[in-house]
Amino acid sequence: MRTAIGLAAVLAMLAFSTGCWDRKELNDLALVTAAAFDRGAGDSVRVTVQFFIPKTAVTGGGGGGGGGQEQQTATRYEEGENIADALARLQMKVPRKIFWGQCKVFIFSQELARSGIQNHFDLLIRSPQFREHAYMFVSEGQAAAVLDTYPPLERSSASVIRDLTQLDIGIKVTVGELSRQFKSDSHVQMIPMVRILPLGKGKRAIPYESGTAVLKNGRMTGTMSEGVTRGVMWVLNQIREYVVTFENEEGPSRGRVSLRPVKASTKVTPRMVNGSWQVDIFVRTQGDITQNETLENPINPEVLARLEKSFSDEIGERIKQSLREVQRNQKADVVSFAEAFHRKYPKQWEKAKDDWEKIFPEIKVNVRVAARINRPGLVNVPGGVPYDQVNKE
Amino acid sequence: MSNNDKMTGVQLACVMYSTVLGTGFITLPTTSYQYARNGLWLTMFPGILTALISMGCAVKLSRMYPGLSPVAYIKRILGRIPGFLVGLLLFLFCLQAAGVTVRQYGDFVTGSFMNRTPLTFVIASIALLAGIAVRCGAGVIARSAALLTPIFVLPLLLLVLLYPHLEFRYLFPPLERGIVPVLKGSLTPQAWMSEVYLISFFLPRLASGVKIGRWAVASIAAIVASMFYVNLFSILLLGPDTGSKLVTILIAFRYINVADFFENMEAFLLAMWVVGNFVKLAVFYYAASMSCSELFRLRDYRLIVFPVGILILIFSIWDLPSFAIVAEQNLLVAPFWVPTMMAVLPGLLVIAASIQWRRRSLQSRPNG
Repeated sequence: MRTAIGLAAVLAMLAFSTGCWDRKELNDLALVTAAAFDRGAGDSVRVTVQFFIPKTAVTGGGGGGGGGQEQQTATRYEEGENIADALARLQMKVPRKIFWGQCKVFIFSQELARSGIQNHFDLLIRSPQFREHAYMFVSEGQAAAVLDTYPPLERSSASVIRDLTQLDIGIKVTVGELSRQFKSDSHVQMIPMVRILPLGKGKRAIPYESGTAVLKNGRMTGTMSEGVTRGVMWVLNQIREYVVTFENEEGPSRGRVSLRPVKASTKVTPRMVNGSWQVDIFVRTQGDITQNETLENPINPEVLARLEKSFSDEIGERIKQSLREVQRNQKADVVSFAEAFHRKYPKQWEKAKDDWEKIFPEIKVNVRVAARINRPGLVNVPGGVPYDQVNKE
Repeated sequence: MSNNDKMTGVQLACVMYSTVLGTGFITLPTTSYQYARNGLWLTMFPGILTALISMGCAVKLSRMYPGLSPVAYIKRILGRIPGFLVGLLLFLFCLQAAGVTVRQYGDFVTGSFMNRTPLTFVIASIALLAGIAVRCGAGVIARSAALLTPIFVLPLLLLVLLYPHLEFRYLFPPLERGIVPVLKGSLTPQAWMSEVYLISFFLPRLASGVKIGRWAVASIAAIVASMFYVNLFSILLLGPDTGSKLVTILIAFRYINVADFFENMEAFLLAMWVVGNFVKLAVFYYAASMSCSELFRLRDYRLIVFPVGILILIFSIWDLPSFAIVAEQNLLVAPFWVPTMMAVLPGLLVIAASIQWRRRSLQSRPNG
């Protein structure tokens, strides 16, 4: 009798364990690879979503050739009062459940960013379906247009822009990182800008990262060029592997020298001198020569010293130029000086934090660069000239 | 069931660990951050004091009244009617605390993962499981704690994968606004840590010869170390953003991403945390059932296990109308109410009992 009851109980449990409220299966899902947010009609927001088409992923490549490649992504858009509302409406047009677990790219149009993204961003960080790892971008024109490009090499434009970002050439900002920037002392956010690079005719084009959007409290106020962005990255200690080309200012033989890979580490030290706010930036950087257009032989210690001097001047100048731009024109503390002062001078910071926007442009910055050239590469004297033309001291 | 098994020290240490941290990991970092800010990593240390008091009282009382569970010795110390009232209070406390525990677990599961599963179902299913464990007896709870605690702790090791994302600058400036915010932030953790007193429901079943003091200290040390680790990671990862997260460890797990392949780890976290919460709930549930049965002198506490479970469900849903109330309770009520029941009350009991013992020994000496 007991066995019978036990068996019945087990069977009853089995009946319950088959179905579950939160069950999701792959062929019930529409995998989103990227989402773009534009301004809609009136006060509304237009959400464009790029879906991955799984069918072509399985059979793709085989026949190829004649008919041209099939698109592996499709886009749909919908307008709504806010993003959540637009997504709810979008679901009415998509037969499968929209799934965000693989969405790694969010793009705001510049127009939308200029009117403020705080209200939109809340959804991305609050709702558990979105990932903190997804990258954030601001598009120069329509954000939807970025998703409507079909790259020749990668499966989707979303994966192009993601892979380009991961090369660490420009800044990369994830949803999680942006969330921290919103809570930072400087109240300034940076989001990389994305543009479309047309490739020949038709829709063959790829998005690429170019420059940076500067936002104050979620409202876009300006853009930084690639050069300025990189200067800021030097200060933020985000330079990873990088090519630096500089003019041989010091030597007798003019020409350009390129270094690769250039590595750097930067130390930012805030100082209060008689009530004035100052920042010392000390950059240690090093690289190998990868191209030498001058007639100099870098094996010569004196020549090397001159090259290092030119290298360090170049870096110092780039940093100073970028700081001039962000301090005078942007008036936006993208270099996190606020945080540095807060850490070192908490009391003075407490008093000054409401006036930070006025203080920041006035901060005196001293830049010092210790630059080293590690190796000359595979050859010593310039590669394209006979020995007797090489500059001799 | 092998209900007369004696418990070992390891088992009790595991029971204590999961009892404190089952919901502690979910609730404490974010609650403490409201006050302590970047001093979050210090907030667990003042709790050591409360934990030692609670633990010391539990051990002391179990030595004075060997084999008796709390409500039984409360009745003996305080007399029939006051003893009944205080015992009733303890019973209600356990019911309410079990309700809060299961509610926090339920909110965590439904809020972060299973958005479409009804809260009641999540709560009722783990309560049913805990109820079965409680019916099987203290030995089963202790053994499952020993078995499940390692699984419960395992996800913490995964946090190491976050190393590239950590920013040590978030720790500075340390103690920016003095020590007071840190002390305020430590109020809730110390309340959670005082729950080690619940071990007194298990002490009567301890195998003889076990050096319980050592295991107790080891367990408290493990609790403090785990919380230190978790809070430190939260602050190093999220910095000023920590305060905006409801469950910081969940967010930390969402950040884990190794080579774009090893990611979406939070489902794993849920699976691991279910077991910790199961142990915590079972402990409170057992304490409530035992209190009730001692209170009304039932022959067998097992008769009322499922009715008590229904009361716990009632407390978990009707007592807590919204998640905002749960958060407010954690911040404002629990820091005072829980240690009152779990540290102050046992302390008073120890004092009262010692006075009684001294008086009794004085009385008995002249008579020989």
